[in-house]
Amino acid sequence: MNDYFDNWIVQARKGLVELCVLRALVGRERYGYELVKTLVDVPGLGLSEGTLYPLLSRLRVQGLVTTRLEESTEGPARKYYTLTPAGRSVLTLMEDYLDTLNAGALSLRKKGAHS
Amino acid sequence: MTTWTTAAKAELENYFNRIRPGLSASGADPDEVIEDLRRHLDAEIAAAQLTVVSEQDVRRLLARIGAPEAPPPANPPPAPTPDVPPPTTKPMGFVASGWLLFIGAILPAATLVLEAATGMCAGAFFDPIPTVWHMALVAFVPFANGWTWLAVRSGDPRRRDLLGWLNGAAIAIATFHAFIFFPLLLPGVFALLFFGWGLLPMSPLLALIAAVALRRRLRGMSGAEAALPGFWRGLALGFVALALVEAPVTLTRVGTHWAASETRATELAGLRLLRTIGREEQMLRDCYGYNRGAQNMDLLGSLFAGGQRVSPEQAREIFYRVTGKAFNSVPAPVVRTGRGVFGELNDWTWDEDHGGDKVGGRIRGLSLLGSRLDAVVSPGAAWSYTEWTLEFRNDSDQPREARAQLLLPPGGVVSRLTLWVNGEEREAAFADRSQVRDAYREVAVVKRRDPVLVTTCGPDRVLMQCFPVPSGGGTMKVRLGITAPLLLEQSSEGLIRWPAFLERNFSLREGFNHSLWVEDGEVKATGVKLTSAVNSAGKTSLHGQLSNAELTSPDSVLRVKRDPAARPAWTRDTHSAEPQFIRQTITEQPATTPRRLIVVVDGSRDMQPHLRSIAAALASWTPPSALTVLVAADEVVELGKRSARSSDAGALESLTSWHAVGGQDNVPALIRARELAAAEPGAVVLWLHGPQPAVFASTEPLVQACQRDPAGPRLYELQVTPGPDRVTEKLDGLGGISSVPRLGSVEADLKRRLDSWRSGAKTLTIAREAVATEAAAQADGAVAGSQHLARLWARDEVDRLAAQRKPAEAAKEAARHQLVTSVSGAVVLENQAQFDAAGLRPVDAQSVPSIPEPSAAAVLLLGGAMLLLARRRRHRE
Repeated sequence: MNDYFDNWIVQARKGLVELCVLRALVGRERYGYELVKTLVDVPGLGLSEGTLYPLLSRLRVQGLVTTRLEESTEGPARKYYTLTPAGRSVLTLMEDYLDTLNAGALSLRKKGAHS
Repeated sequence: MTTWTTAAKAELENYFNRIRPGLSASGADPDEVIEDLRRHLDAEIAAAQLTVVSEQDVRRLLARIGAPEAPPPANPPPAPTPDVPPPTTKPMGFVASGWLLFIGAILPAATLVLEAATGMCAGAFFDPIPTVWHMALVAFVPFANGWTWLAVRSGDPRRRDLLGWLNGAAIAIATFHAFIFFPLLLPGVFALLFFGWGLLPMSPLLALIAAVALRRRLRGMSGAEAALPGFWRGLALGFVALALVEAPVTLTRVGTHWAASETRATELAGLRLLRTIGREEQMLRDCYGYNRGAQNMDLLGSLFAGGQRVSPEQAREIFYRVTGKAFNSVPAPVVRTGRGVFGELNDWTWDEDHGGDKVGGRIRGLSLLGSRLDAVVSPGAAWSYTEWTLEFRNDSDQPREARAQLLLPPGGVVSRLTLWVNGEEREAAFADRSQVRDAYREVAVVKRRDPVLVTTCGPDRVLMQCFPVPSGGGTMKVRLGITAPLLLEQSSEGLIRWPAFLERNFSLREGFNHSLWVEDGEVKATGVKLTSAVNSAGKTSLHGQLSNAELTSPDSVLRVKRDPAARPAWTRDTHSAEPQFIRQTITEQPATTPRRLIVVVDGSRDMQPHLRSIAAALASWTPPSALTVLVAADEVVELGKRSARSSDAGALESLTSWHAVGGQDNVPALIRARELAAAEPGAVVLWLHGPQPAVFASTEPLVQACQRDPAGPRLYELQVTPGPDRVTEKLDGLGGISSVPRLGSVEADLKRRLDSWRSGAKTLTIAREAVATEAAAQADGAVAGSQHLARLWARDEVDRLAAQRKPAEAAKEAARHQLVTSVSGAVVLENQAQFDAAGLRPVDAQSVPSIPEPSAAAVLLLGGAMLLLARRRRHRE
């Protein structure tokens, strides 16, 4: 049963990872280390740095984020990630879809509670 | 400062090497992710304030980061596109990979290089790479295939999207070329099976197969997660590039097809299209016929035109209608043909006009090696005699016929023709025009031996043709002697024009010059620089080198001083059937002012720079006679009439602002002008025109009018720019037609003609008559002259007889006096047997004119002999 739940979690969070990355970049650009630390700390997302960097690279290749390097006085150069207009559009679509899905799931849950 | 131990570095690199394939397959950029991870580790180490990083530290940090796992798909898996097969991740085997590289990149690249170097296909079938753009498109296929192959082989998906586009474009280009080469596939297969070669025609198809296979591999590189973009759009891009490269040729082909239509509206639409966007080089190629190497790869144009092509004759007409130029007035088009051993496959300038009566297209390798003009002048008797010696050279692989249309000095006649056979001079036979032409055809075309033929082709124009100029650098030498009257504008000066080329099928090398020498009299050249000298006999001569443009220029005129009180001249006519003498007198005749002047102006493009000068000259036409200006355009346009000068301005302003386009047919305008002139006695037609190398409307109404009413309105033609004119050729031998000599600018020549018609003006006229007795010839103290007087008399007599429609009598008179006229020609054959077979007799070498003249030569010979005798006697004493 636990295995089944674990698999379900993997499936459930697969699509959410990208949404969270894009959401984390709304409003301001973040450098990689900071972004990774923010996302790793999101409860239930179960992300590791090893997973996030390839994901960020793919998002860049797909044109959803852009990057720039900036020298830092506190350590190695920082790579800043910024959401592109395309990334913003995709994020809106994702969130709309998720809202619809959540609403549906909640309505089912409420119906179950009343019956 | 942090220090990494060697083991730590090795541990980290091992880790990166392990994760790299997985990163590539995930669609991420492996280098980027590794750099990010490296930066992340540095930040962790800095945060932990480690000064020495050991192997264990690396392992611990990496464990915390976690190995990159297969990422979730970025998007839902796309539906498989219909253009590509399902993706596969199966790695390429060594053999398959090698074959893909060979047929996709190496073979097409090698084929391109081979074709560019040898012209194998261009020489044998058609030119697949006629322009550098075609070459670039063909080169694109192996380039795109090669790059895709490298990416697939290395598993590097960084440029996957770009390669998807490039591959789509490569598929489009390869498909097009596979289609073009489809007819050669089967012969290629047979050649491959039986001879072991023949892979080249298959190259486009094999490249197409490779491109499709590489697309499958490219798509399967990162699994089925991401669709490969760029198939349809790349395909469209490829076809658009092909269409752009092909467009000029295709549109020209379409325009040519329309222009050859029998429907007037379609014809005009085609001409408009070609005049706007037609590719001159392509039209020029069509003028040279279906020769293999001269053909472009033009699939679209062929499809549009239903596979039909216009004939070379039609193409030459269209070329003129569009450009206003004769197709052979410009160098033959440069085409890619076979080179090296493949060069023997073709010689694309196949001479379709061999033995015919047209000059035809420029022949590759045929050139004029040398040209010398020697002239003598008799100022008193007002004649000149010019010998033009031409030597041709043929560097092509086949014997060639040299042909040229020559413009003679005004009123000139060919009175001698010589061919050098094995170093010996052979004189011509003069006879009926058809008889000499038949003899030439028999010897030149059937037996392919050494003849030269000269016939007339319009007023003051002759066609010279000689064959064979031997291949491989062989030469052929001919000489034409031309007797001409001096042009007398005033009694104290005579003018001479040099003969010149109007049209030719051979080239002149860069910097080519004609060598000129004039003896006798006080001669002065205008327009060009010639050097004056006095020879050992005390005679003044003028000599120098002139370029072809200088020789042809109307400004290039010789002015000879003469005694205004020169007496009449006479000579015994040694060639006449009955004993007779020719007497020449020069008198002043009062001008006859035309009651109406009808000016026909050619509306062709070449005339544009001269319209203002023509209008200016016509504006000076002050006599109170009517003026009508007709412009020969796509339709005949009458610009205006006048009865008083003030009302003339509108017509001349219209002429000044006229927009001349393409090449126009002057015949309808001439017919209209003749009709107008015939309706008003005393009217004349003045035709100002450029070369018209093709005739479209029938000239028969004009010829008929001239023949039926030889005393009707006179037609004066003034050719503004030199070149072949088929309309004047058609009018050859008809009465009532005169050429206005070109002696300077168009405006000056036209004014001179108009001035000669003014009331009170007087014109110097040379009159020659045949008299029966020597006493009658010598009357009024006439001085003895040369046989050239008899030749010029005979020329006029032949014209008179021809105008009276007595061609047989005219031809006999011309043959007796050894002249090339509208009814007679001259031919030199290789030997007496050929002359006998043709029923011709070459003239006696003693009877031909020469420089110096036979009489003068005899005097010199006698003088020389006496001098020798005197020396001998002195020596003995």
